[in-house]
Amino acid sequence: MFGRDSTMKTIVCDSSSLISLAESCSLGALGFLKHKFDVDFVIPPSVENEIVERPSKYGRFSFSAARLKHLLNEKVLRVASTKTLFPDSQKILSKANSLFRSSKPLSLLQSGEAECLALVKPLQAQALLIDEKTTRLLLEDPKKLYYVMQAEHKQVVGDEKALAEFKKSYAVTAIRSTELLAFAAQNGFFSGYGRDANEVFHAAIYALRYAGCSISQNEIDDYQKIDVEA
Amino acid sequence: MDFKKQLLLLKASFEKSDITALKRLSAVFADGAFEDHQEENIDLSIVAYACAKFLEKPYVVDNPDWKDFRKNLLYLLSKAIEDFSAGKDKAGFARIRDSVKLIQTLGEDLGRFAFGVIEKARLKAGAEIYAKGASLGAAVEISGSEKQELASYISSTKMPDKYVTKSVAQRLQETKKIFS
Repeated sequence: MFGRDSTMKTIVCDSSSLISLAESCSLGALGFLKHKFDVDFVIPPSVENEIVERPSKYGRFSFSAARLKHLLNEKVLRVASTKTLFPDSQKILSKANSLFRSSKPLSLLQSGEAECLALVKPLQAQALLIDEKTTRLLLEDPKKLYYVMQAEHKQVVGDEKALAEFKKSYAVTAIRSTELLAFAAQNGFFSGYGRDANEVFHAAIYALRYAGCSISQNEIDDYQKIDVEA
Repeated sequence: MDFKKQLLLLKASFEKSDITALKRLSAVFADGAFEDHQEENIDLSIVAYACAKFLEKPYVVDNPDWKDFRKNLLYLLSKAIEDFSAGKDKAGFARIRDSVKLIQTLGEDLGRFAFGVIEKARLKAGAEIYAKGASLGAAVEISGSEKQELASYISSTKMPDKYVTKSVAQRLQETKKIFS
């Protein structure tokens, strides 16, 4: 199936994480992990549009877009689809965008995130690489999302049964760019920096946060306590 | 959303140069875009935010072009109110879009930053929508902002502190398992 062998790990990547990695100059971690751990990093067509086609039209985003395009050309990343990707992702959008309502149902997700979720099962993916918070909360702790939304807007009502079903239907481990980079760092990604490896790793975690990764200050502080392989 | 009512508030706030009220209205309109799926709410959010930003800058309000801009914008808002009062919503929305064009022209003529006031207004609206619960992609789609910019803008706020679900140790353990 899709040229995948039994030892290969598949990770579906959302644009949010790829943008964070690109903007913080940490895209090299993808190639490093691909070759060291036999990882197949895949993106659906909508994500390709979000990370390459659309940003390449704007000068201020074109540097990241060009480097991500290079990763696709080098086959570090690949675009994957299925025959039913469109209807599957529409089904996900329909479900996700009726989980909460105020005066009308609230549109929580869009096509890129839905296509990522729709690829997980057919590709037997081990993880979803995603930095944005709403999809991650739907997968990990939908009640927390409900709580956060109600704190912002008291009229919001969530369908708790549907939230639990959504979590169950699309169960997959969500990892962020920070976890990906930390794992790469623990396995020697920054070893070329010698005794400066730790400092570079800690700074890279900060850079990911400010490039868009949804990570709290306390979590960053926890990352600062981790020593990586020099 | 009752566009006539909101436009009356917007016009009154602009007439009084009430920056706080304009910024508050900008957030209200962005919320409306998330709740009502109406892109016109984003246009209104842009108008409210851009007016607030212009009023904050002496080099804008002291410029000779400001007087004409103010007069033209108030005219468009008045006409839009008349349109919505007469049930001519399509014409009212067209006036709001014309207001955005007027703002864009003034911003381009007088602005001192490469990043324009319209883009900044879309970014603020996107952040508001994201805070209300939309995903990054949905917030970008509704607000018309750019994903790279919105992600970076949100990360400079304290919003990410609200969304913790697992410890870093647990996350790293799970990550290790994925790669093993």
